[in-house]
Amino acid sequence: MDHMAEIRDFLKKLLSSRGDRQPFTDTSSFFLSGRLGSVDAVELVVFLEEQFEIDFSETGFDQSQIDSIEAITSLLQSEKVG
Amino acid sequence: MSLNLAHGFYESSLRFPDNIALSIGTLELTYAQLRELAQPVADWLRRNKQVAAPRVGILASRSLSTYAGILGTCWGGGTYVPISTKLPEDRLIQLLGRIRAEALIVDSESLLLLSQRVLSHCPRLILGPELATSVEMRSDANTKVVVTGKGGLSSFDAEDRPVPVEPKNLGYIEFTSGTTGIPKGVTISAGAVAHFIGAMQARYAFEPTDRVAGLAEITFDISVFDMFATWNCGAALCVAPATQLIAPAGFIHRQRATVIFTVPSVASNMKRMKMLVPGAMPSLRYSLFSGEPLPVISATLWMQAAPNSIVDDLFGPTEATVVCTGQRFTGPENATPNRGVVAIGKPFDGMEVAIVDPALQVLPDGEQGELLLAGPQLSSGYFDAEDLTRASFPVLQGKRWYRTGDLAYRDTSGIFHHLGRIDNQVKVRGLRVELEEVEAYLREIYRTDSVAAVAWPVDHGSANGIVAFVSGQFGMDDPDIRTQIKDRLPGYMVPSTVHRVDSLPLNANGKVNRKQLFTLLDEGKF
Repeated sequence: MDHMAEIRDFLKKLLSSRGDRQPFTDTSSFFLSGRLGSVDAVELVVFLEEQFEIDFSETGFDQSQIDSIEAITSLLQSEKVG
Repeated sequence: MSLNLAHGFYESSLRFPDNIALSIGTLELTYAQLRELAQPVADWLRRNKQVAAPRVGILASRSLSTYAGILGTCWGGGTYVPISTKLPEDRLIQLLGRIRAEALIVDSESLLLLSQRVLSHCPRLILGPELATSVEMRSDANTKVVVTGKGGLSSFDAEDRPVPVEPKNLGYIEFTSGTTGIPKGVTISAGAVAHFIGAMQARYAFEPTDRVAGLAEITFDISVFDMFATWNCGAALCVAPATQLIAPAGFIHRQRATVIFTVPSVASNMKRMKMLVPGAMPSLRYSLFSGEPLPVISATLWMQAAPNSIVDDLFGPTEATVVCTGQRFTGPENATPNRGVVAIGKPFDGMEVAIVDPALQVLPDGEQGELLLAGPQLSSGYFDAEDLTRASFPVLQGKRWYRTGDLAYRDTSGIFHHLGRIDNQVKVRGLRVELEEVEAYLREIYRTDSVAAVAWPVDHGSANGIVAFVSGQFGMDDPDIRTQIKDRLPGYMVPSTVHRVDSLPLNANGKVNRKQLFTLLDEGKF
């Protein structure tokens, strides 16, 4: 499974645990739209750190960095992952 | 000295006119500039108000209008009532009906929430202090409603001062979750706020050079500290963007913040996200936590990440004006035994704490009972709810107390230790939720009495979410039902999962056994 498929799969599980089985696209907003909450954001960050060694301690963290598949893609690219 | 909440700001604007009072994104306002925005709001309110102390709803978030609106309301002698901009429409309408405000202040974002239905429940006077021009809208009944913009305000009057107010005048009303499904409004007087600000200043000695990281929404009373303790001493309030609240280390670093007052969840989030790195927040002088139990591990890691900071665990319900007890954290010796959380310490000067049995008799040290509070920071009562006020604020031997519903004890050295709740009020990520209120909605939506809401999972006394149980056949996967819940409750009160069960476990009294449901969740039985 490639990196983005793994991330999509993880987000699908997060949404489903909230009873949200609606589809999402690369530009769908997860957090700013309220589909997912702050607890889910922490889970996603921990997942990204563990799977792709993304380190937010240097740059600081902003929810908009992980708000959509598109945003996560550019975050991984800026960290030279994926 | 005037007890107007805006008085401290006004005095600071004379002493430190060029100090930064407010920083939001790239916008920085000096005390002189913020005063020029707030005073005309006060003038607008005074010109239009029908009663001496009007209630003014503040439907705004993290914007210039939010802060100019609150300052202007207080300056003009009004009582400000924060309203969340994240409420579903039905809940917003319900709250507007409860508040019966004389005026409403909005910002450019919250203006979009004023649908025809919402406008039908809004007061006649609506102000958008930042709107370039006034906006004409229509309510349900096709009545014209004008949202006054900047143009409707008078020019700044440098001679004007905040209206003198009596200690008993209400400074603000904070609405929290209520057991009956109707939010309850905690009224806080100007005298109570003055005592709280005085106690905080005495405890910490804030300086005009301080920069306070403003994380709290105005609907959370930590914001009372953020605004008024900061402006009282001529310091800067640096408002954090909504997208950086989960782990604000980067924000603190960029803003060179010296003070932060937040919930322990922020520390545990940062710990999980590996952002509580030693030495990461050297600018902090004071790190204050309240709203939920502070785990010793989080406090220890925070001290390492903010090596120049004092770490304090503060405690208090909204009904006693933000916080009224405190425990400085220096190490595991400050923990409540066998709990892994920091003790809640001793009351502020002027405040009293008592531990009582169910008959409200004071218990000796070491014995567990309900925690009661007395003193000048006590709320004047619940808005428009006399019976509830009488029950929650009993007079015992001539002294007025507030029954917190918290289970606690005092040790032999006079330190108080918090052990949880006696009733079913819980904190979900620092926000107060009465589980009965969630259940009231579940009953209505699922049309059955067999419902239960449990705060779960819980980590060091703090809940991460709510899980619901419903007995019977009700088309559980029906997305309409989820939408109905979401439309009526704020996000943090919406159950993350609703389990359908054949029957709910009951305790000896025939009540739903939440403890058993909690254990079943912990054991992974669902």
